[in-house]
Amino acid sequence: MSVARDFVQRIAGFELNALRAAEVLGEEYEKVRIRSGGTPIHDLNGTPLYHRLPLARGANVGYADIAVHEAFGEPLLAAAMGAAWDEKAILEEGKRAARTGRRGLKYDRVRFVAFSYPKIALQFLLEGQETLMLELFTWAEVPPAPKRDRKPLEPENFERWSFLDELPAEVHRARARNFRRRLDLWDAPRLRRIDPRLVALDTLRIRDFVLRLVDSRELHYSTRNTDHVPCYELRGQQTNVWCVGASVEMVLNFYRYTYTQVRLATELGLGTLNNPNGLPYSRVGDVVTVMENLTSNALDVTLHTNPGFNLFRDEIRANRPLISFVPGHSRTVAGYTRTLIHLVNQIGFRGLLVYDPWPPNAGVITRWENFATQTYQYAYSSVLRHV
Amino acid sequence: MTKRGPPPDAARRIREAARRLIASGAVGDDRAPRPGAVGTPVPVRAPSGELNSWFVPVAASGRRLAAFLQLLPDGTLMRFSMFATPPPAADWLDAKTILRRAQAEQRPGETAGRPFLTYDRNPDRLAWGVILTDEGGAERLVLVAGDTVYSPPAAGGVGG
Repeated sequence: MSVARDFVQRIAGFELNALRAAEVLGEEYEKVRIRSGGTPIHDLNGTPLYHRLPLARGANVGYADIAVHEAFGEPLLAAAMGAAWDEKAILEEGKRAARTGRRGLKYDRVRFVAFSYPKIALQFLLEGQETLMLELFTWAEVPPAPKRDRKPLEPENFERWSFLDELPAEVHRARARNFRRRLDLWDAPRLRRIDPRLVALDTLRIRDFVLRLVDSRELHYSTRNTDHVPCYELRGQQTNVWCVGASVEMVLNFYRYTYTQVRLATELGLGTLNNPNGLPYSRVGDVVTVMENLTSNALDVTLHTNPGFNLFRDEIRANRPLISFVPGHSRTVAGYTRTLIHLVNQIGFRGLLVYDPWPPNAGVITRWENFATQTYQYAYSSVLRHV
Repeated sequence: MTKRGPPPDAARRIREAARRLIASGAVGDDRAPRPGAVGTPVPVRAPSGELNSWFVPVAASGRRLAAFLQLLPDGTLMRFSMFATPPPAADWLDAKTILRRAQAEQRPGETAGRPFLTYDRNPDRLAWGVILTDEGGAERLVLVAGDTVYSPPAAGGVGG
């Protein structure tokens, strides 16, 4: 699947406006205009990959790269300000460089090629056959492909390679699905009356259209969305070292088990109120045993090492809180959020709703903790056994 | 402790970043305060003395602390945290109050240094640090987290 040229400008508009609405793109993009369908950039095998569209505020001030091939998975590949894109001037400069470097060069067509994505070159063709390839702006000649075996996607420096031919088939298939979904979104009937060529904070704010920019969920009474009443409470740790006790208390409270922190400390070996201690790392497994024992095995508790974001997301979607150990500290997780729209190859914001028992006797509700700035050592999930 | 100060305009830049985050609605919920309530950022020092992050207080009414942001030195959000019951702002922002609390742990002959915001092993566990120095020059650290005052435990593990 590829994208018709006249649709590229609209896709660019919607993508940039969505990022602007989410304030992923800053004020430097406000009132910037997308001037045309842009310059097609081809794969080494000749297939159009993406278009580079000039962004203008009066004069050209930047560009956006919009995929027209499904293999990228998402349409917006890059957006840059401060680097103006002028196709005509670049072509002229490239042709001059070609004439200087190779007198008598013959060609009947010149096209832009991603010879080593994202590196771009000008490819000079005569009757469909390449006669010269020059890297953009350095105007260095790109050598022919070397004849040697290597793994896909592991090219040498300055080696030409085909993005499409080397992309694994299973990756291509998965990305294609995502790409089609995104294009369907921008082709929605409600959006057809919008002119998205001007980037602005409020371009996509139209009646009866909700752009889903984030995926977010927190614990509530059931998994029915219509009953979405938050159902989780914060407990502050009663001593400076009882974060584990307070975390276990929060999760057990969620399942309607009421134990004092003093009792939980006894079960977990955390000492007494007057002589408390933390949980040694050699005993992190005790949390599983204690929680299962105190619920008469109604809870099936699992310890996860180095938990990823998806573990937290999946458990919250199943309406189950988690205990999260970070170095030296324990908290519970009761929700998550993640941005759904971001630049290709960049991870959007991923955050956790953390019920943190610190500071002692108070605690805080953190909405949100940036998943990228914390180290997640262990997590405990708990599943209610059905009888 | 290494005293490497942040750039001169860092606090202003961090405060602006905090205001933008709150104004955008990207953090907090319906109870989150307005951007106008964002106070002066306080540098958070790692135990080694290096700048770890910034603590940006967000005031509630009646001189209480509703919430705070913790931002990396480059302005990246670490977290936005809200108190269920807003404590007196002085607990977290007034050096005299913090020093007075630390002095409760002071032994005869010890003098207390200036409080500095730090953390107890994890940046989640924010606390003010006060160094107590005895007559022989030996130093020990006391941590003050709200109304809790303690000496950091020597043992490792989770919590202590």
